[in-house]
Amino acid sequence: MSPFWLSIKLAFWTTIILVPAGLLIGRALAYWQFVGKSWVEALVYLPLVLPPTVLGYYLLVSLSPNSAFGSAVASILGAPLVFSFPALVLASLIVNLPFAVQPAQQAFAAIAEDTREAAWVSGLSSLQTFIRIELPQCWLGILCAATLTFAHTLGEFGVVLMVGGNIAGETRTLSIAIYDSVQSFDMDAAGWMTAGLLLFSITALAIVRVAGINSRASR
Amino acid sequence: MKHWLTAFILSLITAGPLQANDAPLVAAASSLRQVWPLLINAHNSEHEPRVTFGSSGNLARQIAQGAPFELFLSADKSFIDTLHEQGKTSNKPAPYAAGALAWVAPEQSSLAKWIIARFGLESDEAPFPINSITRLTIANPAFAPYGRAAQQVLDSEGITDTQNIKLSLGENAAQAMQFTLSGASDGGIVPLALVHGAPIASLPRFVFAEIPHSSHEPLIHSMVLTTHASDNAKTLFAFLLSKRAQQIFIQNGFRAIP
Repeated sequence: MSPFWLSIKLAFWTTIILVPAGLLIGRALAYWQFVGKSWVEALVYLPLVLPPTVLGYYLLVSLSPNSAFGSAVASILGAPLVFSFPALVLASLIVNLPFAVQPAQQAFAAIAEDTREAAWVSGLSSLQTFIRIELPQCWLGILCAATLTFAHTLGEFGVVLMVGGNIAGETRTLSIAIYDSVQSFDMDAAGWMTAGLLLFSITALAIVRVAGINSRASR
Repeated sequence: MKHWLTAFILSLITAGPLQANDAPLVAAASSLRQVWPLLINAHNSEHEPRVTFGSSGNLARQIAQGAPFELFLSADKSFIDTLHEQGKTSNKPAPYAAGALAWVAPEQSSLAKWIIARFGLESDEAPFPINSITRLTIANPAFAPYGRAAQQVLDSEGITDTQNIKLSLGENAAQAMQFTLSGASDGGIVPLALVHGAPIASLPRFVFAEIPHSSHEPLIHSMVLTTHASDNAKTLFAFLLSKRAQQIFIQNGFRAIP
């Protein structure tokens, strides 16, 4: 599989899994108070400040078949988790957690408490309130979370290199392929890939902006 | 349109562990980047190998940690010995080439003048003092064999004794070459095998000189099959030891195995 499609595949899986999870975590952080909440928040936002090599290191050490945990995982899955595409997805889920949670948390927190209480008083259950009142007001935050997660995954480099190992067709994503091409002095290939990635990222972010402006204008 | 969409979604769903693949997975020292396409061309197998280049130390570490490479072409023997101790190899390692180093520097730099004077590339040049050089590039001696040999060359020339030289370390020999040619340093020591094919034509002019192998310990490239090796990997192993392959190595910046 070409590096481009590999990157898309990684971004797709990360987004599909992480956005619903981020939605629920963001909602919990917006509405619940509990002991240790600030620690949970700190953990969720940790990947924003943590160097990707730190995460890569811990993933390598824990999932390598040389460790007890890693060899247990390997025997369940039939192959070691490191240096494979699923390893990239796992790393990606952790690295992008803040990007999926933060917009969702802000969106849920922005809904007035009165609105939700009015819904409960009118007889809607918590679940019905969530689906019919909260979600429609949060869709912009969810779109933002999805777009940021997708675009950020496309740009991942350090973790992918450490945990994936630059294997053609399996873990050589677009950002790795660019790095590889430069080392081979294939500057043309590197130039094309870089331009493509840049264009894609700008377009994705512009779409989110335009969608945000339009939706606000239509209210 | 509908077919395209289905195919796209199906391709995204295939996310299992490494699919069974006839193309052997090879880990190769980065000094082989230029000669590799020539070797594969000569091998002419219908299962063209998938290769990952890197520093020998880094690749060995990845194999030790479970990377699915089938054949490992190192730039020395020590990393292979380590893998053997860890039970990751499946046959006796074999030397396939001997490496050589070269000094490379941009034409107008002070290092270039030193190279010309030192190796007598132009007659009657007075010895040029090396202390006007401030940045040199080599591969990282900790895990790249060519970096280790480069460090030995620097030591033998007494260059590391000079205080104001900063060493920039490439993550592997090919990156050291790339740093050197990008002008990020005053020049450096790189594999001779990468000088031959480098796109020097499109870059500012460079001076290079082959370094005599008495200045460093021999770079005996060794290779080994791992415990994951498929039959196609074994065929490739045998080919790399053939006369044809050995010829290609010698013609492209490597030396005969002593």
